Amino acid sequence: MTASGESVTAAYPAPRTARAWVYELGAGRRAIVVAWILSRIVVLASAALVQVAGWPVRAGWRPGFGRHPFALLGIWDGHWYRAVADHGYLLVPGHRSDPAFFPLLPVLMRGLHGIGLSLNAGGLLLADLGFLAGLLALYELGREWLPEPDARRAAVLAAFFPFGFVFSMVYPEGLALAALALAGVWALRRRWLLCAACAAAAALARPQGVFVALPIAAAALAGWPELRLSERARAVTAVLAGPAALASVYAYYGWALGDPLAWSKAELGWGRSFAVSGVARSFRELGGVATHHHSAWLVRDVVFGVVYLACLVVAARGGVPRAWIVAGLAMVLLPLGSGSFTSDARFGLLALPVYFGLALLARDRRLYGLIRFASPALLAAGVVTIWLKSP
Amino acid sequence: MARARVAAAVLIGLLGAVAVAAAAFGLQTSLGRPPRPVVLAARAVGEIEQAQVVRTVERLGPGRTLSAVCSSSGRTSLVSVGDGALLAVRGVRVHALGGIPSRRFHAVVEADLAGCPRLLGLLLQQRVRRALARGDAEHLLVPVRRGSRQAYRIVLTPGPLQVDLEIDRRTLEPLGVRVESAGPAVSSSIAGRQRRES
Repeated sequence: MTASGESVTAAYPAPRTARAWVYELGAGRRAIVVAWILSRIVVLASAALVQVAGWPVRAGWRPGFGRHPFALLGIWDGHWYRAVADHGYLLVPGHRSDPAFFPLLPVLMRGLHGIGLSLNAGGLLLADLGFLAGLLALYELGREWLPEPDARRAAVLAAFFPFGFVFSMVYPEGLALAALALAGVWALRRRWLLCAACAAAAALARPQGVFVALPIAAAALAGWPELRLSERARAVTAVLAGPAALASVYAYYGWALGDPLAWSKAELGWGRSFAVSGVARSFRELGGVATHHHSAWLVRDVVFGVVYLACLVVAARGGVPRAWIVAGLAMVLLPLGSGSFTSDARFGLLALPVYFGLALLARDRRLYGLIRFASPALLAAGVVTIWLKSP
Repeated sequence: MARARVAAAVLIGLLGAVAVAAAAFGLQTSLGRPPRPVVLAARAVGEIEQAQVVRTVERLGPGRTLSAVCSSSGRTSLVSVGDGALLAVRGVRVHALGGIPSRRFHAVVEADLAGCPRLLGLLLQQRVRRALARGDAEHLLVPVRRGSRQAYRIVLTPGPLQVDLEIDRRTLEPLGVRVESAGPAVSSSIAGRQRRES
C-alpha cells in the first residue's frame, strides 16, 4: 500500500500461466510449435530406436542409449564441431580438418559446456531450439508476402521436411535457419541493428549465410528514400554484416592458425575445391552414377536439389521477392562449384523460399495430404539411415 | 547535399560493418587454441607431404649404409632400396613386392626409413590427434640437434617398435627417421626431396 492507500500490485502484470502464454502465441504460431514438437518426436524416437536396436550395424559404434542418449544425432560433422568447441581449430594440411566447420555452433556449445552441459547435449539443444526459432521466424517472414495460411503451411512443412532431421543433429543448420529468417524479418521491419546481428550470426553459422546480404540490400534499397541518415547508416551496416562476419572468420584463422585461407585448405582435405569447372565436374559425377560408390545417396542429393529448384520457381511466381529467390538459388547451386552434388540436400535446407514454394504447391489439398502423409515417414527414414551416409 | 548525406550514411555504415567484424572476431577468440607444439606438428604434416620423391641414406649399423628412394603417385608410394628390395605403400599398409633379403627387418620399418611422405604424414597426423585428445602436447616436440641443425624429434609410434621423426625447427622439413626395436636402432637421413607440382 502506498501512503495514499493505493495498491502497488496493480502496477505489475499478473504472472502469466503457461496456458495463457500458449494462447497469446496465436493460432498460427501454436500450430508451428505443435508441428515442431511432433516432428522432433519423430526424429528423436527414430534416433532412439536406431540406438536401442543397434541397426544399422556399424563396427565399433554401439553406444548405450542410457549413457549416450541420441548419440546418433551427434555423429559425422558433429564430431568436428565438438572438436572445435573442445580445443579450437587445427589445420592439418592435406587431411580432413576442422577449419571447414564454421564457428558459431562450437562457440555456443563451448558456452553451454561452461555451465555444465556436455558438448553433445549442448549441440543438440542449440540445434533444436534454433530450429524452433527458425520456424517461427519463417512464419513471420512468410506473412510479409503471402496469405497467413500459406505462411503457416510453409513453416509446418519445413518442420516435417524429410531432410529436416539435420536440424536436430549437432549441425549449425537450425541456428542458421533462425538467423537467416530473423535477419529477413528485421530487415522488413527496418530494425537494422537486429538485422545486422542476425545476418552476422548466419554467416558465422554457415558460409551460405552470407547470401542473406542480397535480400537485406533489396529491403534497404526499397526503403532508402524514406530512411533518415542514421537509419541509412544502420541499413548499410546490416547489408555488410554478413560479409563482415565472413571476413572475420578469415581474420581469425589468420590469427589463430597463421593461415587466413585455412577454410579453403581444409575444404581441400574434404575433397572440395571451388572452381568454375566445378559445376561441370558435378555433372560428370552424375554421368558415372551407376558406378559411384554411394550412387543411391548421390541420387538423393540430386533429387532434393531438383525439388529445391522447382520450389524456388513456384515461390518466385507466387510473389516471394526476387532477392530471396536469388539468395536461395545461390545456396542450392553454388555448392556445385565444388565439383559434387554431395550434401546439396543439406545445403538447400537454408534456402528459405523453398518452403514458401512448397506451401504454395500444397494449396492443392490432395498434394498437401500426400506430403503430410509421406513427410513424417521420410523424416524417420532419414534418421534411420544417418549412419549409412553423412547428410 | 544529398550526395554528401548518402556518402556519410555509407561511411558510417562501413564503420558499423567493421564493428560487426570486430565483434565476430572477438566471439571466435572465446574458442580455445591448440598448444603450439600441436600447431607446428600439424603444419609439418603439410610440409612432409609436399614431397613427391624422397631420397634417403639408411644407416643400418657401423659402416653399413644403403640408399632408398620413395616415390608417390596418387595414394600409393613405391620404395626402392639399394639392395634390390621393392615395396608398395598405401596408407599405413606396406607390401613387399620382392627382393627383401631375409636378414632384413620388417617391411614397415623399411618404408619408415625410406621417408615415404604419405606414410610419415599419416603417422604424424595420427600422432597429433592423439596428443590433442590426450592433452600431452607438451611432450610432442622434443628439441634436439641433428649435426649443425636445430631439430625437433617426434615419437610417431611409441611401443616396442618406436619410430621417431626428426624435423627442422625452422622450416619443419623432415630430416630423418630413427627406428628402435628389440635389435639395434637403425636410422636414415633424408638426402633429397622433390616437391610435387602444384
